[in-house]
Amino acid sequence: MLAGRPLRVLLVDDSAADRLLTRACLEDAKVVIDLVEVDDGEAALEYLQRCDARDLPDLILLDLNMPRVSGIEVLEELEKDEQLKTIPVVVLTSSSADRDIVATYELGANCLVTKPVDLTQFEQIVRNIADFWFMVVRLPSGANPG
Amino acid sequence: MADGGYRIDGKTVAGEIGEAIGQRTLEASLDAIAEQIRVLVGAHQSAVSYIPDGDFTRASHATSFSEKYEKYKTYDVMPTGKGIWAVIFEKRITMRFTEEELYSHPRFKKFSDLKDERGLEHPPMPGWLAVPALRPNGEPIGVLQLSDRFDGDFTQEDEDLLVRLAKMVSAMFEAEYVKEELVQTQLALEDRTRELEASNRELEQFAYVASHDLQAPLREVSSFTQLLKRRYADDLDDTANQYMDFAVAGAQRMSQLIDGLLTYSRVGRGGDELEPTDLNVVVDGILRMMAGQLAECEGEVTRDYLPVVRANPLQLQQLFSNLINNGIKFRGEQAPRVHVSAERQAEGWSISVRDNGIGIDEKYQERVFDIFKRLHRRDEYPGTGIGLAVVRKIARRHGGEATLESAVGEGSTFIVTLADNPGGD
Repeated sequence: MLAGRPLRVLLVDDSAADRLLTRACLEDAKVVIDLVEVDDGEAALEYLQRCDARDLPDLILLDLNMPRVSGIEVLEELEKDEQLKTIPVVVLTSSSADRDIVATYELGANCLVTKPVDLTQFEQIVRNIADFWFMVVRLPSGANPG
Repeated sequence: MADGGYRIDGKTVAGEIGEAIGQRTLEASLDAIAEQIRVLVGAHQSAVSYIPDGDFTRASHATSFSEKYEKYKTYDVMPTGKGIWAVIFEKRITMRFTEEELYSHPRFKKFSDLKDERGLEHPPMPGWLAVPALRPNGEPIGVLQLSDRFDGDFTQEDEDLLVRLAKMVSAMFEAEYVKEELVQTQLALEDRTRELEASNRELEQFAYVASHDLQAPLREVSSFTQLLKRRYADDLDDTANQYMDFAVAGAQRMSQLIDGLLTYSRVGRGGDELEPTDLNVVVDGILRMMAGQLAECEGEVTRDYLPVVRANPLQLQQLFSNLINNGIKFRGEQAPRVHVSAERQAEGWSISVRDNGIGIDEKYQERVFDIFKRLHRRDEYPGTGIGLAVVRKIARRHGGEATLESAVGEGSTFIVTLADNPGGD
């Protein structure tokens, strides 16, 4: 475990239902994390600006289509901040629109995942994200992964 | 007068008027014609009017004056088609009057009403000879007028000459009329095309937004039903569990339909750049992706040497992928065989994808290209009915067409034509 604490993940999604589903999938996938939920982009930016550097999340799961401050705008803001831009971002979205995908990657997101209709598939995706990204974010200090 | 027609000062009338008619613009021709008829007949004033459909708002006029009427050369009050003019249009007849006859005519309006900005009245008209120019269908399309003969009143001979001139001029008026009509038709067509394009864009945008925004609530229906089942399966009986399976299956099918709609609406959304596309590479790429699937059903896909075409490679990949998959999917008892071949045509290529599958009854052959049209129950052959609709849409966007030849039990051959110059029409 990194610095003796579980990984902190910030989940940004305006849909309470989708947040619940994501959490359920994480639980079912037996992924142990410290999950912080916020319900829109504005709240996400506020949270991040308030955070002490050592409390910053290790990963952000970001929805795109949100009222007021959209996921794209959150990415733009993150990109402007020297510290925040280093946090890996996985975009979790209903959109499979090319223009969203392109914009997402251009703004430095690390990964874009289209939320599937099937819960089992969604769980698999959440598991994959955990396996991959949680490994990646451990690497810098994980001198001895074994 | 047998062949040369009227001859004045060694020149033929036809030659003079022909030159006047042949000017580059309508205005220049009218000016030249006005000048020529005045000189040919021998009068101090003349006017020529082109009045399509008798509509004075679209009319063009030209006048010509001798030195005697010098100050009228800039007189520019245009006729309105009222007064004695109207008689020519109503009756389609030639009018030849002396000054007295003209001024005492019941339809004659006073010239004092027709002043220009300087207060200059319409020139006086000592005598009047007016001839309508008629279209081939008899409708009047213009008027030729003369006034103030050099010497005495207008004669029957003058009238005959002007009638002949009017016939030549009306041929030119007819050409002008047809040209204007053509321009109008062209403009109307361009308007219609623009409207259609806008409406197409709107439809595509609609399908796109709809499919994208419909997925989110559908995901909730499906996912929570699944979550319910996962967490509470033990508390529910078999029937309740079965109902939930149906609900999930329905939501998933709807999701596939929406995805299909999205795919269909995406064909032709931006990104239509054409580039030289090697169909051998396209087909081989598809076969690599299908390798596992082909091995499973002992399927075999072969191809002849295929051409390089100007196309959008991603769209053609989708097109051939759909067709080859179709051939594998709708297989009969034998192991599936699909063959892709090409044939050169006058202005493009005809590509055939032949399979040994179940075939399609002739009466359904056109319908299979309709969106969401399926010929089989989902438990026989799963699918959304979008694949062939996409194939046809892509073919048409490449200036071609998708058709098929088939008989039940004898396989199907899908034929896709691709134009050499897809945007060229």
